Amino acid sequence: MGNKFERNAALLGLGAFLLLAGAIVATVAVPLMQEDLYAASPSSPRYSGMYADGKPISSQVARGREIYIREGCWYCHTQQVRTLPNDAAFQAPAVTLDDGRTVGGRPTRPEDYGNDNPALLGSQRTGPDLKYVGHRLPSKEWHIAHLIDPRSTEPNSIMPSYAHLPADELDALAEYLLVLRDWAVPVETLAKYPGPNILEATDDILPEEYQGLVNPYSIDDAAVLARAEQLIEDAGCLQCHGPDMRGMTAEDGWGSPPYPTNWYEAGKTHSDQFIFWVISEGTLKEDGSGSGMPAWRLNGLSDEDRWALTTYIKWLGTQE
Amino acid sequence: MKWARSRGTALLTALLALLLLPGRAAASHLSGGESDLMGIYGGISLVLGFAGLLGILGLVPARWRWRGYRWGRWLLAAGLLVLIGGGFHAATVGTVEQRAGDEAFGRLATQQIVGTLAVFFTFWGAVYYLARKSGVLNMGESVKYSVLRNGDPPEWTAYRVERPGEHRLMWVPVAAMGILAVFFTAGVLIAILRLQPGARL
Amino acid sequence: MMFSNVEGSASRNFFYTAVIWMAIGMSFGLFAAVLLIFPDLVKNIPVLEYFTFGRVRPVHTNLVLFGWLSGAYFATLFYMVPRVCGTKLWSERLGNFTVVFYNLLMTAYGVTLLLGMNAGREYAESTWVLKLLTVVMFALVFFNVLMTFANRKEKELYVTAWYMLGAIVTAPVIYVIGNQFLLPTNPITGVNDAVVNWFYGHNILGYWFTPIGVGAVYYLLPKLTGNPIWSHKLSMIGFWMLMFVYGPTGAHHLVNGPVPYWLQTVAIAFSVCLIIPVWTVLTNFYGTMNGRWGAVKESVPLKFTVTAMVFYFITCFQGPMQSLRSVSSIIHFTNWVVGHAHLAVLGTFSFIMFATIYYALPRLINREIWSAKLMDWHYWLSLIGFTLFFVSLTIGGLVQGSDWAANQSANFIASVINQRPFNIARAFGGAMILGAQVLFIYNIFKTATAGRVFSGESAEAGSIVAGV
Repeated sequence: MGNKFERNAALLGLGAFLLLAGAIVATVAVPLMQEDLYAASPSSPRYSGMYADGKPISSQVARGREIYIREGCWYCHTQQVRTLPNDAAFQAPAVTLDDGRTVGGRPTRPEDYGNDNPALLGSQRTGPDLKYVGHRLPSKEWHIAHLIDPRSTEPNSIMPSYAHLPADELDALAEYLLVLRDWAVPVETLAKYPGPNILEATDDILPEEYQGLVNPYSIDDAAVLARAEQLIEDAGCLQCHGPDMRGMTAEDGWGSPPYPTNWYEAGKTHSDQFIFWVISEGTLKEDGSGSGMPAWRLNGLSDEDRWALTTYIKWLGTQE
Repeated sequence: MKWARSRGTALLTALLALLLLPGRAAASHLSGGESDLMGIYGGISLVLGFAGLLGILGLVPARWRWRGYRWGRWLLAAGLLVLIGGGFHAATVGTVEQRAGDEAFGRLATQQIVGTLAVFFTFWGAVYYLARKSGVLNMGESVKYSVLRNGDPPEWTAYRVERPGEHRLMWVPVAAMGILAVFFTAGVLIAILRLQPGARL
Repeated sequence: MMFSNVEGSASRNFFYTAVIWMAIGMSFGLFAAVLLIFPDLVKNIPVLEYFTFGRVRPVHTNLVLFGWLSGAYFATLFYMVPRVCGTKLWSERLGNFTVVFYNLLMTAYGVTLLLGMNAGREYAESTWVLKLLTVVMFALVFFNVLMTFANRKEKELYVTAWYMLGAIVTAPVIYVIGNQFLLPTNPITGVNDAVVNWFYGHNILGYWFTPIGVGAVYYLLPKLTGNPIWSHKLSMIGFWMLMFVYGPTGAHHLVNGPVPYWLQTVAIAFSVCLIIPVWTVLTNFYGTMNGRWGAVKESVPLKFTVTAMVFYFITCFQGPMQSLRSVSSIIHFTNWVVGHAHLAVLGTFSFIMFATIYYALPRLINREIWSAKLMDWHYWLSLIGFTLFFVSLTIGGLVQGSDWAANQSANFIASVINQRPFNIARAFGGAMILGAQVLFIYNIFKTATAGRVFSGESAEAGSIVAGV
């Protein structure tokens, strides 16, 4: 068909290129110009420098992030909480600060990623979202134990074992995971620290919202006890509280207080509300970081589940 | 042509006005907004539009070609109507999740999708118009044959005469596509409908 | 070192080495699938204990995408472009140099990724130096192809030529921009990093993997059927639509995520519009097959092509559907997405490459395919294995999404427990696929070493293939 097609190759190439250029301008360049997509905010985590209270951020954190990338953790774990009810469980806890502002309790926004390089949003949830894992699991010991053998903390996990990594790399990874939280939300407001020996604590330290609660179950209810036993097996409680449920101490190799409690003693000493509170909110160490006890309210156990476990422990208290 | 031009201009101006009406930027990161009704309307509109396009271009099998010519432009128009009407419907159905202070959100969200599609169709309309005018669309049917006359020997299947009844094999991939399409659609619908209404988007 | 200048040698060598990378890449894929079933498989085994899922997965994706599929695509370019241009490839010598370069580069990919040198961006994991070398590799191929176009005798540009040219002009742009302009400091951070990454991740599919694959079918079909493409007009619409519509769709990977709402809407709208270019291609295909459906029964290349078209339709039926916010809310982050991805690169484009190899190799090395039976086994085992693969992943994904939506209290482990049967089925499917490819490679090997001479004029049905 003559000359029209002679020059067509160049023209065709130019046409294709221009179309793509249009798409690039619209979907890459324009977002780049939107300032609020860059700005870090009080919520976005930092991996070096200082915390708000003047404490330095450990150099292990930045290193931990590199290890997270190197080992490909981001292939199975996302770090974005979508604007959906499904994802509400992964949000940072909502907290009202002293000045009346509410922080947390929302999906992730661009400002939560600040200058993350690379941004590790992730594309698969073979495992749970980790954007705010530092709130749900604020314990370094828990993370290290989980990394060494995921099935020790969660029997049905399919996560690989990282026992082959040297101890300081595991430490770095754990430090990194702990900073994955909404930095505008003070972490101490979540879990309360009842003292080095939890059996000495009394109901005085119970927070308001836990004081008036009533255990809906009775210790004579065999079905509830059976349910609790199933939960204990599924959640892997005995890994820390001992196969005989009598807890662990420094002699057993547990690092630092608070030590996993002897359930028989706990059942005898504490009230239903106290046990329910510890199971729900977890515990902290003296330095304010998490002990190994997760906040089960945020980690998959419903109110009924936790009351069932409370009932079980109270029942154990009557068994000696 | 004159009346078409003045109406076209009016439509274009209306669309531009809709696009340029200021919306609230705070809404830009939030979800909710137009329900996926627009997706359904968009899909239907595309099917109608595509069928209409095939008709106008005479690309239907010979037996139905006259029907294609006759109804093509009406199918295209129907597609466009479904799209615009659907846009209005989706806007009135309202947002799923209203955030405080975002009264403009529903309109903003619909604006965005109408704007996108306006750009899309304006561009393609212009391209098609220019292509028609330059005659390029009518050129080059002969290009199709160039691959048959190059030096590469064709496969033996090129000479294999079709035996009676074998043309029915074409329904196998059609059936496969249909079954899979139904399978995926059903799966998604079942999953969505099993959610509580509050959990659905 | 003198590289061969024999006509067709570069294309042939790319095909040979690409299928080896396919076997290696797919093996890593199967390994990854097995690790999801037996997570403690490599625990406490020296050296192997480092090869956890997170290290194995990028090796799989990079080796099958840049090793197998891109390698086969280079071979296809070197085969088809000269033939649609009516002239020889500009330089077989440069082509063969590129083959060696490519194989060294892919080895480097495999080794560095296993060592954990991962850049942290999906499909862009290789280190900066390797990315530069990848651009060099593309440039070597594209330069060769463009020079072939410049010297062409056939003045009219056939459809395949458009698609190949379109890919050549756009793919490098996508790669460079998507890899942050190849700057080692990666200056684009935060959410914008994700936007750029998915601009790249999706558009490398739309502007590299799709055009070459579709262009290959436009070449194969007339050759396999003896019919011209049904409609030139439709092929033009399809091509230009693809070039325009694909670009803005990248953000559909971030739907409901922390990116601007307008960006998501643009991506979703354009993703839905992608239906059009796909339907034009399929309509054209069906028209072209007129009167030749009987041949499908007896021809494995035709079987692969027809099947690829079915999977292409499904990919682009799923795609628009899953970009909608409500559907995405169920299937995002699930196994469904894995199934969808494989529908494109395996079910569609790899199947097209199988057909291309069965068509092109005899003509390149002047040998008949050694065994018709192995061809059949290759097809059926691939089809059944892959169907098991993507069906189990699709259902698994819906179950996963439902599990998450149903349980608001982050009882995540239920979704993991429920995936087990699907992960097992997927691994079975994957093993079948890999097994089929082993048969394929063996057949190619025997063709190269012991195949009968190719008779291009063979017109008797079913008599073309010699041997077993």
